[in-house]
Amino acid sequence: MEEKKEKKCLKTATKIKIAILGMAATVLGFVLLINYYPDGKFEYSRTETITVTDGKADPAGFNDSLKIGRSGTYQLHVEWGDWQNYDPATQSGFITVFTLKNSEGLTLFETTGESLSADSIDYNLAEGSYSLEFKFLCSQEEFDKYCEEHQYKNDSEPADLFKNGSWERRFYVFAKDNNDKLGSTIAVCLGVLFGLFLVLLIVTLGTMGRKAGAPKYDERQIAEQGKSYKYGFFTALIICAMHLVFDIAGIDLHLEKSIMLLIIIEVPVAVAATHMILHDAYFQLNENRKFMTISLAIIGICNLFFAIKEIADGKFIVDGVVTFHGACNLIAALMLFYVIAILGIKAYLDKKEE
Amino acid sequence: MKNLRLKAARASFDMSQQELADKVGVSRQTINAIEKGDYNPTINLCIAICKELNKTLDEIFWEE
Repeated sequence: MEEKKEKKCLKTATKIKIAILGMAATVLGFVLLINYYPDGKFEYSRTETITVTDGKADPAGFNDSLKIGRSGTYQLHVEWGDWQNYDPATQSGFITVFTLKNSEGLTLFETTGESLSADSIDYNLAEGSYSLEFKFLCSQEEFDKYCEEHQYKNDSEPADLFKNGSWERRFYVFAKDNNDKLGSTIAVCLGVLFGLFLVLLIVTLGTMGRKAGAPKYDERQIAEQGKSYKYGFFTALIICAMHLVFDIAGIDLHLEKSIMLLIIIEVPVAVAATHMILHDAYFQLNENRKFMTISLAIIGICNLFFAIKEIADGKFIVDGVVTFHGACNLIAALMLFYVIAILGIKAYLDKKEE
Repeated sequence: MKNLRLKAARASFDMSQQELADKVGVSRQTINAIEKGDYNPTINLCIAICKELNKTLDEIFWEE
């Protein structure tokens, strides 16, 4: 008997150790990923006041560098001036020439404009430093000369563009690795692993009093769970069918595809959980319900915190579309609070029955 | 149909639903469902209950 008891304790302790070590390992993985896996996004920003007097700019231009920390396929985005609210009256009286060169002085990307936002094609950039050159053309002659040197066809005549004055401009360059999948894939895998270890820890702590080898659910609970999964399955079918109809009818739900997939997962889970809770098939035998409910509430609050943060950061809706990163925590929080509400209703019904 | 014989047998041992449930390895709600007639147990659970209550299957589960 003593031996059996010892074995049981060891088993629970081993589970807790595995869960804690697993969580610690995934956290370590995250720290290593953040510190040693270079980000696939590189930004450069500089604000300058350019004064144009009689066709001469002060400064005439400036050079800087952009450090790419990881080789990859990059798309460059450059912008300067108030390109979103283009107004000839307030625009600068010069044309900016932007050039990106590699360490050997080879021009990779070049663009010109008075006020603009431009995206490059994809470039394979190796890890290293790249030079950014900004040059200001302040007269038609200078611009024509530049076009001639670069063999550009200059058909347009920028009337009233070049003028004297002083303008403060923010020059912004953004490089993003278009194939940056590895880092996010590792991060998602680590997140899933962390979640699994967390669930293992919570379930182990919540069922500490149970004898080793004892069944988790009784036969009635298993039968009810079968019904719950059936309802969940049909709910998933209905949502998928609705999604299909919306898709064929061309009705835009303004949701990212991944959000729709999350809804297809979460709603059937909520339906199944509701049936299980109302039929006492949700918690395992001898499971500490209070502990489990509090754990769900804590996880729900954590998700709600991140959801509020994402909404405050403006990531919830981007370009009129609800994004996965902005909404996944909110959906998870709503789901968890819904489960807690159903548990409360069930507890009330049980109390009333007694 | 309510299983009043199970309830009576349990009461004769001065046993609560939870105590019987713990002895046969099911949840209290399962014993409650059997007594209320909401759930038909498997033969294995019937035998386990009968053994705990020192009754035969006929005495508790046979409908006349």
